[in-house]
Amino acid sequence: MHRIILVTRKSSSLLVWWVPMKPYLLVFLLVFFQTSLQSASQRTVSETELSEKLKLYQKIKTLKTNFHQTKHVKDLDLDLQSEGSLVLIRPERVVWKIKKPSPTELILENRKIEMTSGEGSNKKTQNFSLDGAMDPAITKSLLSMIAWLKLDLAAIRDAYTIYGLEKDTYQCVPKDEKGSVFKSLTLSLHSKGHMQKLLIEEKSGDHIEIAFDEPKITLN
Amino acid sequence: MRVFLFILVFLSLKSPAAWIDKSEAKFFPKDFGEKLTLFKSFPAFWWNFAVIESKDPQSKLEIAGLLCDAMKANPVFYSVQCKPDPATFLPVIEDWARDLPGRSPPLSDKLFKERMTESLGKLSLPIPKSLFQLLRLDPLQSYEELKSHAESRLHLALPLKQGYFQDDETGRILIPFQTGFAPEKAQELEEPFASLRQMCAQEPGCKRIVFFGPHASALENKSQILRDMGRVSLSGFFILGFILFFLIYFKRGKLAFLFLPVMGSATLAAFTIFFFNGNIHGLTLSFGPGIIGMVIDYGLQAAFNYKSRHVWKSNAFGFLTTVFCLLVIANSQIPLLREVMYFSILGFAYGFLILFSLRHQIAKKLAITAHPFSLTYAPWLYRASLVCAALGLVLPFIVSPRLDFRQFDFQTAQTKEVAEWFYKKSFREPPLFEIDTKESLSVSAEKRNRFSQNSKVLFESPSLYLPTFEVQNRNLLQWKKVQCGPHPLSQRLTPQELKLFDPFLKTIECTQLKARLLGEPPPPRYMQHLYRESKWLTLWFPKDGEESAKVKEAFPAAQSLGEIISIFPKILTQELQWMFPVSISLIIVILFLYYHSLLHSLLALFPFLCGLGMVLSVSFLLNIPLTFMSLIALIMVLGFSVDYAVFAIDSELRRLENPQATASGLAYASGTTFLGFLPLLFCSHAVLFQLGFALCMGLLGTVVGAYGGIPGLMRKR
Repeated sequence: MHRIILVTRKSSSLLVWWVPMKPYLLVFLLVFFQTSLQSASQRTVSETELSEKLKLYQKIKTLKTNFHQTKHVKDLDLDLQSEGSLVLIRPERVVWKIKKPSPTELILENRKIEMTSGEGSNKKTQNFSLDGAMDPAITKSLLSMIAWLKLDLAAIRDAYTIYGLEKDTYQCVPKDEKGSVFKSLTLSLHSKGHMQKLLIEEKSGDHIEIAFDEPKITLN
Repeated sequence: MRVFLFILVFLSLKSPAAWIDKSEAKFFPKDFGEKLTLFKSFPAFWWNFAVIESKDPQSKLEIAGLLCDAMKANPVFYSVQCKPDPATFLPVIEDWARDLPGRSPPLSDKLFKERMTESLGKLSLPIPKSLFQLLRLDPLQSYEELKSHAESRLHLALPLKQGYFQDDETGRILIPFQTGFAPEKAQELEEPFASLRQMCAQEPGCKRIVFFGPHASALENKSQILRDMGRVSLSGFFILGFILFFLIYFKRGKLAFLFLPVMGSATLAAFTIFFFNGNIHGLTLSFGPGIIGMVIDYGLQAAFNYKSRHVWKSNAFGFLTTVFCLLVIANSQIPLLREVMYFSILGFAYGFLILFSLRHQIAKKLAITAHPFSLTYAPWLYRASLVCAALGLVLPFIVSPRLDFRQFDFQTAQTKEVAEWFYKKSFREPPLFEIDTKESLSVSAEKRNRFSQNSKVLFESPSLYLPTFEVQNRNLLQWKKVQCGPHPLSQRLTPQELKLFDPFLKTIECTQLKARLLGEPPPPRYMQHLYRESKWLTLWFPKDGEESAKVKEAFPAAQSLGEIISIFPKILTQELQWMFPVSISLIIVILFLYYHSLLHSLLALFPFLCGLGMVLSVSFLLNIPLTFMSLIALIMVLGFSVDYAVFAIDSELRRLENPQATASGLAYASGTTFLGFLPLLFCSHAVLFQLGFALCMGLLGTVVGAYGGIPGLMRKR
């Protein structure tokens, strides 16, 4: 006797019944239903749906929010905690400010990055251009990160295939998998419509989870 | 026949025989030659460049990416500078971070903690794994110092954009790459280069990929010489066949046997040189047999003048004039020229002795009937010879030879164009070099550092990366106070920081704190480009002539590569100024002993004058430079022109009883020589073309002088 849980697309209820089966048929069914499960849980999200979900961000002029970040380093089995704030000033300026463990400020604007680290007399600022010396793959990944932070829907759509997972959770897989340092990004929205959590999975096996507080927004 | 000897020699050069010297060192007096070889043995000189041109600006990065990836995947390319990946710098940073305690004293507690926390903050960012590892190895970020060193010494005027050095003006992308071997082994790049060119050809947007640099140049030269020698070989076989056919058709096939003693004598000469020197230069083997081949002319005269008792006296004095001429040139400071001359003298002597010892057999068995023509007075030919001779007297004061080394460097038109574009953009003043041993390096380290600080002239030397032993020990003493005490730095860190920065903390453990002697091998990876076989390189980067002069004043041993190479034409010019007059004078003296007549002795130089005039006038008209190879050719022209002159004069003086025999002998000698060197005129490599041009023109002038000038001048007297 084998128990198989079937989830149909049409109804959200679970139908459970006991089915006596031969193993090969069981395998076939498992594969079939697994595919169905995947199809049901990982559906491609249309442009309209995503725009509708992120409508809060369409008209913002400025956004300010705090975040708590955990970076899990797989081969060291270690979590690096940091916290800070994100400021978005449309159309182009993004300020990512880390307060803990060490004050670091990244200002991203017009394909340029200004990184300030250290304190007092040891404060130093470095400037990078995204058109500069970097490996194009790193540049590309940074640009897509910036698109996320700016919530530039057009850029996100161009770079990612977006799948809807459970309610208000979306997984974005880079279209150019080879050229990206990220494996996927998973976005979770709060019921109020703002980004609540961003999970970045790197190809190295490390992942970064960023939890955002409710943002303060000014509209156009 | 002479070209056949060249062919045999060049084909044999294909085999990697250790006894054939192919180095440039022999072009220079010993000290300079060794310096040049040594300079080029440092990995700092093993940088070459690939230039990529695309048809479509939109796709150029994609094409560059493909070619960059292919180069990085091939281990033949030791370092490829495109799409910089921090991972490639990890081994260098590892050594750099390890040697931090020797370079500088420990930071204060506060600063140490701040830096570690700062690195912790950076580690939490979404950075590539390689950068992550870099920060773990060097959380105090001492790599910034190394990075600024490298950037200040990078003299490329092309900005680095999106991972590539790009020229906005031309759209070209430049990829510097370094090999792991010296230019002598450039053939290892042949297949990778061909593969990259093929990749470019297959990409619709790729226009071309061009390589230049010391290895690319060596490969290009070798390839061109082999291509040319292929042409020469092929035409040589046809010419040889034609000569043999001619000899057989005109029933003079026996003359072919004369080549055997010549080949034997060249082989004997090669072994003699090898016996005394241990090796023989490839160019000696290439050009020496050509000079030795002139000995055939004596065999030809003996075969045609088989009835004459005087022919070997003519031959002997012809031989002596040539040998003494070669002996004068053998006093050159240039080792290669000395070797070519000794090789030629030996071969010439062996050949002459062999032919002389076989004179009776030649007279009996190789006796050849002359053709029915002799040297006669032809007014037009006589006038032509006078014009040639006049040009030979005047033009040496007008035509300046170009004796620089660039003649030896073959470049295709596209390589030349790309290389010129690059050098215009990159270098203002050539860098200056110094070489040190381990001991002298320590002595000069402080002086160099002080000079650079005061004069602001940038330099690259081991002392820039590592302070003296005393300074290191002072720094390490302070580190040991902390690390070997009860409260090492690791105690200031959290468990998380201990885990994260473990690779760095291991390098600053108490037991690891040791000073490194400046110049002591093996060199750390950040200094490997400056080290070779227990010698250390220092490079100075003056911005202009004034800075260059300051460096030379402070460090007289500092020289640019161009200065070393320019020694070659300076020495050669100085030597020519006395060698030619001395050779000419000796020839006159020897011939005076023969003819007891100053007039006839001087007359023997007339064909050479005509030959010289022909070479210089045609060079001048066609703008063909007169180079080192032209001078080698003129030595050969002097050799056979005096021989021809002696035969012609002796014929006019009726010493050689049969004028037709002499004329036939001269015709065969000049004809075979001309046919032999003619294929060189179709070579693309300047070295081969110039040799062939000077020989062919010199020969034409000599024939005009011998056939037209000598009879005319002697009969008009």
